Amino acid sequence: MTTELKQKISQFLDDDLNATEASHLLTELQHDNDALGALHRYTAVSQALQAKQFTLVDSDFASVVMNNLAEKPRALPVKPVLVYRRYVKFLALAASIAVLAVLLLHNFNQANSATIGQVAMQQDTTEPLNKQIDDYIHTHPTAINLAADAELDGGDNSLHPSMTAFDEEPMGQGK
Amino acid sequence: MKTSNKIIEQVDEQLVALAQQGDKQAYNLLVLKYQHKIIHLVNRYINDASEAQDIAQDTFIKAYRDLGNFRGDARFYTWLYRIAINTTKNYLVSRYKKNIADAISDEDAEIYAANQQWQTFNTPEQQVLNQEILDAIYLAIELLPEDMRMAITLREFEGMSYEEIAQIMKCPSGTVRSRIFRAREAIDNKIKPLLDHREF
Repeated sequence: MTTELKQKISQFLDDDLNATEASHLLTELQHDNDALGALHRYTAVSQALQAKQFTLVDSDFASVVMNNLAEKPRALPVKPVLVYRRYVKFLALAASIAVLAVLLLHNFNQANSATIGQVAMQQDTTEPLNKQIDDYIHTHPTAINLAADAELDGGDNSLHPSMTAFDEEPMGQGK
Repeated sequence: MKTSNKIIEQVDEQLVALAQQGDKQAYNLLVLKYQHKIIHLVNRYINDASEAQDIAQDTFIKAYRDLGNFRGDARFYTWLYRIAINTTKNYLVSRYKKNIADAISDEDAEIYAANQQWQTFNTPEQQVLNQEILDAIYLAIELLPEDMRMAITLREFEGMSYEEIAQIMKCPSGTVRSRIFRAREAIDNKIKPLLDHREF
């Protein structure tokens, strides 16, 4: 066991080695029982100073653990799939909400524009038409058979001329 | 202290990541690094040193098999610590078939661990031998040259990093690294004969 190796052990205990250096150290420890013993004693002293109490640990403690684990080839894999699935679920939900929102907005706009269009069309067509009808009635008071209507309904017919003219008689044919 | 903790996290994270990919050497390093802490923790509750080591080993085995679920939200040691406490509780419940484990709350365990004053359950003979080794360690530290004693004290008692100690001692961190190593060597030379008698 070299002094350099022991210094590496000391550095390892103080987290002064990165993972690669630590891995190299472990490789060396596996072939050097004296160095492994030094690691055990250094860690024991460190723990004793921190805990103000010395606890004896078997030198083969770690090897017993690793032998037990030899039955299992490797650690359970990290579950990137689960994380991925969680994100997929989230994204799918967000996408669904977005699509739903777009569809609703689209339908709402369509309904609104249709209604507005219809109203506009009605306004565009009916108002001038009514005006034309009224004008027509005023200029051609005998063109519509008010008397016949009055007999059929038996009431006040002040509004009927325009209604009758609008529903039944195409413009211009009454002349 | 934050710098020191950050370095520990980085090294542990790297080792855990390697172990999660099936690198058992990396996990072996984590076992070597934390075995004494975990055994010391379990030993607070278990009235038998041999059983305490069995439970500590079981803790490391469970931790490895559950390593895929470790997401790095907490430090590796904190996660391992919880597994050790739960494993100890389960052992006590199965062993004594009563709610003795309820007496151990995670909070209590944290406090005890922080105070480090709980009496370890060992036989009187073991306690005498352990105290003898502890005394030898303290004596070895007292005999160290001032610069080495200060460096090892700041490292072990205060948990400072090399850089932090270098700032305090106004010397390069390489010098601190060397002083701490030489201090450990001096202590090791004193305790090795005592430990050799105990098949350490």
